[in-house]
Amino acid sequence: MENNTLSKKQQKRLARAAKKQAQMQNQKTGRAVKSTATWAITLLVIVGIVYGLVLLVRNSSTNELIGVDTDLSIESTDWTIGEAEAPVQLIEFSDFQCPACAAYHSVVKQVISEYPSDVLFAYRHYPLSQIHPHAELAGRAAEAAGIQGKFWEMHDKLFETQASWSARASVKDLFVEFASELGLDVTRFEADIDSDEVKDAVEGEALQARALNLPGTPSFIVNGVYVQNPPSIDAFRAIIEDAIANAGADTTTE
Amino acid sequence: MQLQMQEQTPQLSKKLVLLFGLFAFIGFLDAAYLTVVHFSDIPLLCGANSGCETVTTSVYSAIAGIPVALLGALYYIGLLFLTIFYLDRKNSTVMHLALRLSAIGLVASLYFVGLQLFVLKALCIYCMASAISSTTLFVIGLFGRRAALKTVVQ
Repeated sequence: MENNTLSKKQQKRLARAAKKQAQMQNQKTGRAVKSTATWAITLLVIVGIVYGLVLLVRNSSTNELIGVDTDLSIESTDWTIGEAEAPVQLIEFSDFQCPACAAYHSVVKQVISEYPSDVLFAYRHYPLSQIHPHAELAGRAAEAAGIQGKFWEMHDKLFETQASWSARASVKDLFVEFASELGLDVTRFEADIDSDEVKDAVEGEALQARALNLPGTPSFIVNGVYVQNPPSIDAFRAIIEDAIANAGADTTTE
Repeated sequence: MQLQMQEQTPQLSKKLVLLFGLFAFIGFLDAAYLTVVHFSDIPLLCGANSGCETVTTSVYSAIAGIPVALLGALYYIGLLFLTIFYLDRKNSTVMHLALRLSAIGLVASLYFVGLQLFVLKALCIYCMASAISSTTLFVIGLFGRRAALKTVVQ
């Protein structure tokens, strides 16, 4: 009834206003939906990231071998430092081209020097040839030097100079140079490094590491038990102290 | 005319805001990773330079028992939330707050880089990444605020 009194122009304007209001309402709810969606996605992404990181870190730390008794003990064929009758046997599976092994080299050297009569240390080869192309040859260089009684000298030299040869295309000449610097019979060294005896020595230990499913290098075995790589030299000392205490407890109960 | 000027909110470059959000996100990823590692028992390894362990296990890695990595993660997530809030509501006051807050990150980064260089004498790549994110955030903050001021003057 009242509508009739309005002019067409007024009616049009009214309709337009109603439309605009509806549009604004739509826009408002649209914006609210968008807002909620934005924050929901943000929270979801952040929760997802944190959860993912936790999983990632946990997976990298879940090493089923930790604490497992591998039944390994140091044998007469091993290259060792320390007293043969020491209560603690520390075996390191290592790779001369692995940066972490080079980092641990100084730590191990320091720790075993602090317990000369309590720790017998043995180095075993675990060259990760897929990622370290010179690791196997470096292992053979140490073995070949060992034949002439200088395994540990070559071992130290290889680790200390690792950064200088790791990225090279070819390292054999350099290793021969190392041999001559160490005062070795170079002709003999060159023959030994390619001998089956030396190749087998490196390969045999690598096979052993693979059979144990060692997760990487370096891997440490203390009195037969695989231990998680200690994050600091103090943590390493603590592991040795523990092993000494345990060995002492074992002998007193026997 | 005067009224017009007051109504005009300082315009922020959307590109700068997005870049700010991106770096806040990168910083968050980095700090969150360090926090998770801190609470796990595994050592943080970063290849040849073993500085990571030295730095992240040092006495400076926590303030009153709270790992600084966690504080960093909260800081970055705060900046990220403010940025998203701005993008959502176009409330420039919030964004200006975020841009100003980025100075905290710069100061903290200078302190931690100083600690690494002169006290610990060891560098941790994840910590340096955080310092770079924080510094970038501060620089974006500077540009963002300057750009905003310009539009106000115009």
